[in-house]
Amino acid sequence: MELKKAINTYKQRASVVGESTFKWLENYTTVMFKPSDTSDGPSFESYLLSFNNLSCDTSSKDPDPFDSDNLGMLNLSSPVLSSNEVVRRSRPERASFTSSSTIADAPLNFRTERDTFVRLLLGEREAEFVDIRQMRFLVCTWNVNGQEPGGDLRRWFTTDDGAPDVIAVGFQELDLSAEAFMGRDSKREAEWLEKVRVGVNKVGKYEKVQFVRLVGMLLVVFIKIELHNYVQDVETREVGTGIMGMMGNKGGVAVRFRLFNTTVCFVNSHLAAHQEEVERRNQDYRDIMARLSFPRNSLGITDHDVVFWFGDLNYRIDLPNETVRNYIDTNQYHDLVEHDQLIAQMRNEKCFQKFKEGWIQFQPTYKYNPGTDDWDSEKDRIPAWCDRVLWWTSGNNSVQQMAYTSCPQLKLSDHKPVHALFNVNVKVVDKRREKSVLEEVVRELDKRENDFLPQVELNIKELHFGNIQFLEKKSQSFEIINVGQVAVQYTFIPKLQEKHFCKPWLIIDPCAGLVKQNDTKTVNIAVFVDKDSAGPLTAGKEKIEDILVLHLQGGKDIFVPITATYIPSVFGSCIESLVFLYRPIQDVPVAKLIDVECSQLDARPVDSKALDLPKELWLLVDHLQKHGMKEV
Amino acid sequence: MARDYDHLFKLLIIGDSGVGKSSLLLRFADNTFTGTYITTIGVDFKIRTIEINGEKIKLQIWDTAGQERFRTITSTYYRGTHGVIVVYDVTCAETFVNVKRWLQEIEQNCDDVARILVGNKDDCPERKVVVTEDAANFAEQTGITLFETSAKDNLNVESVFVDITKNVLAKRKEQTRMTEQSGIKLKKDKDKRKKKKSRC
Repeated sequence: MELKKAINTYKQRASVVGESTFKWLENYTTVMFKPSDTSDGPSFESYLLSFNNLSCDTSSKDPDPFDSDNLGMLNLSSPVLSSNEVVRRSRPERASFTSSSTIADAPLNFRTERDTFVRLLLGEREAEFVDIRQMRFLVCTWNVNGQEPGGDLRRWFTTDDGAPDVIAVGFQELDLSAEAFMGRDSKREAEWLEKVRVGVNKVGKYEKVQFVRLVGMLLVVFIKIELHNYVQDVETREVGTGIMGMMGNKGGVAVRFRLFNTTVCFVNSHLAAHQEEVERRNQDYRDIMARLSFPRNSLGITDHDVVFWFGDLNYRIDLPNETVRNYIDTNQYHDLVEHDQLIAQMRNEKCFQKFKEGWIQFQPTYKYNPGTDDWDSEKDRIPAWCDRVLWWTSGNNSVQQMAYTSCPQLKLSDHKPVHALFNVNVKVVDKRREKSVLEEVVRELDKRENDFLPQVELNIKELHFGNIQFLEKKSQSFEIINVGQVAVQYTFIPKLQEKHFCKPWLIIDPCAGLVKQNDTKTVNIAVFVDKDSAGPLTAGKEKIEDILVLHLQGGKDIFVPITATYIPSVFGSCIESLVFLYRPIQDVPVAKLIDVECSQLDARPVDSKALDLPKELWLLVDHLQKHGMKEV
Repeated sequence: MARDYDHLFKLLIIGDSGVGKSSLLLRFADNTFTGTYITTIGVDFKIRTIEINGEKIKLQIWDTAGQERFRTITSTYYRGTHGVIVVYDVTCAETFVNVKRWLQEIEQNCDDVARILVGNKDDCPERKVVVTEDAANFAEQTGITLFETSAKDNLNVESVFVDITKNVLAKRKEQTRMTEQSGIKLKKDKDKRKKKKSRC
């Protein structure tokens, strides 16, 4: 009864509405059933599903996109943290970002390796900020045959050129005792070190840099006191190649350090003995070269600017004893050198590749009767230049040999001591110039870092959809063009205080993805107002306006404004409002609509009288009554 | 050279649309300038490492959209910022008038940040309408340092960033000092801040 009355009332009052109302209503009823059975593309439900899934994903992965991932940027606002803590805290965050990211790995690794890059680039441009200072290095070697220290070493350390800046002294067979061989302390070590200290200080004022000993091989380096402060990164290392290829009766000991900006490595070695053991000596050289590595930065011998390799290398002269001695007597060193094993081996690149040696113009240093200048009478060995000094440089000609000679006056051993004097171009850093180069390097790296940030362009600035009706789907698309140097991972992210990255009436596909370098990705945006989102829009509480935030992982955010005008419909309107509308809703001025929708019931305009039933409901019921029976 | 930087600071550039925020950033970060105007629709950042008193400071500088319609969104990017650079255009009075509003934005969105005022496009005396004196007076009243710059002519740009970084650094040092002095006081501060946040 109530219903019949209502229909009648509506009939009376809705005389203004006429036939057109039916058509208008039909239009909507057909549209309403359309979306669910459209076959082109995914259905609205699946849109919705993907939208929900993705928005869930986004929120769980990145609950606070404005803060957490950008460049590993931290919230540093807390005053509790000291600067140190800040930096420490920054590490794990960056790491976690790296691990979670599949793109932009290159720039991130690049960032963590940044310091290495700074050093590398700075090293490449070293020439721009160093001055060359020539220094004199004296390199001395002596096989002392296990003898007690004796004689005045001053001669050995004296040059025609005044006091050298650096003196490196290498001994072999310093201690032939069983204790020394077993790796225990050697009393000879202390004795000889003291002897050398006294000796060098007769030439100038020196400070010990470092020493190292392996069985009978001792190496000690002294530097002028005034230069001692410029020595850094001192390290030592020893390698045994003797018995079993391991023991220290043969092998090498080394000291390396940095003097100003030049790295120097001294290697004192004692290679395999005996006339015919050339290949063993070559092998010892190769073993030392391969196995000698300074632990701190695992630097090898040739990872230095300058290397001096010296000692009892034990290479002999391949001529009969008598011939050798004759040549020596007649000072025909030139002919002798031609038969020197080391020179021959080096010429054939069998050992000491790229090393250099000065011209030998001194008498062979082996083998004498100890205490004399007489050739060995006991075993009648062929004289040889066992004791040698070689050098190697990393590329440039920074070393020049000034002298290479023996000191026959020191007769203690069956070997004569040898020394070689060098002019070494030491690189001294000009702090001011270094700073400016460093600044340039840092700027260059910053620039690269910026270049490696994700960069995209959009082919639109904003999207206008025009008029939108209830359940009408309008689509547009835009392109994300990767113009940067890395692949870009993009996601639409929610604005602060919002749960979803877009309004319920927006459908975005795909709302996250990867755009490769120089590639383009199309994003479809559809506006679709359904019964859930229609309400606030009809009431004018909300407009079809949104700004999407397109976030590039590890990079910037782009805003995409979306606008459209919603054509209000009865759907989504409340019945309390509809009873005040006598005409089709679209004919009602928007201002009035808002008025009607928003005002409280008791505050409704007095002049307008409420219909007993909204005309739309009446029409529905009317239709059902007229045609319902037939259709069922 | 054990680590890449001693401090990481986030700076923000704000101001009306078209005053040259992006240009300032481009000049400072990449030392380039392009005359063509591209509106920033979003927020972008670049990094640069500078050294102040021997400390390596990595700056992450955020450039924001100046357009009114984006203001609500951009305000969310103020969080965690250490310093804000407010830019106006010396050839456009309106942008200077709006500085007040931008300063209010900082008040509303930041706890305690270093601020700096920058009058950009100071490279054409004939077109300059915001005279230095007025700007300086305003800056003094507000207790904020003023710089007049030209991203085009690379005038004063470096100084702006160095100055604000020094300010941030000083603030941090002060905070650290306070922290060390009393842990209780800090706790109080923290509580206060929480309250303040919840009010927003």
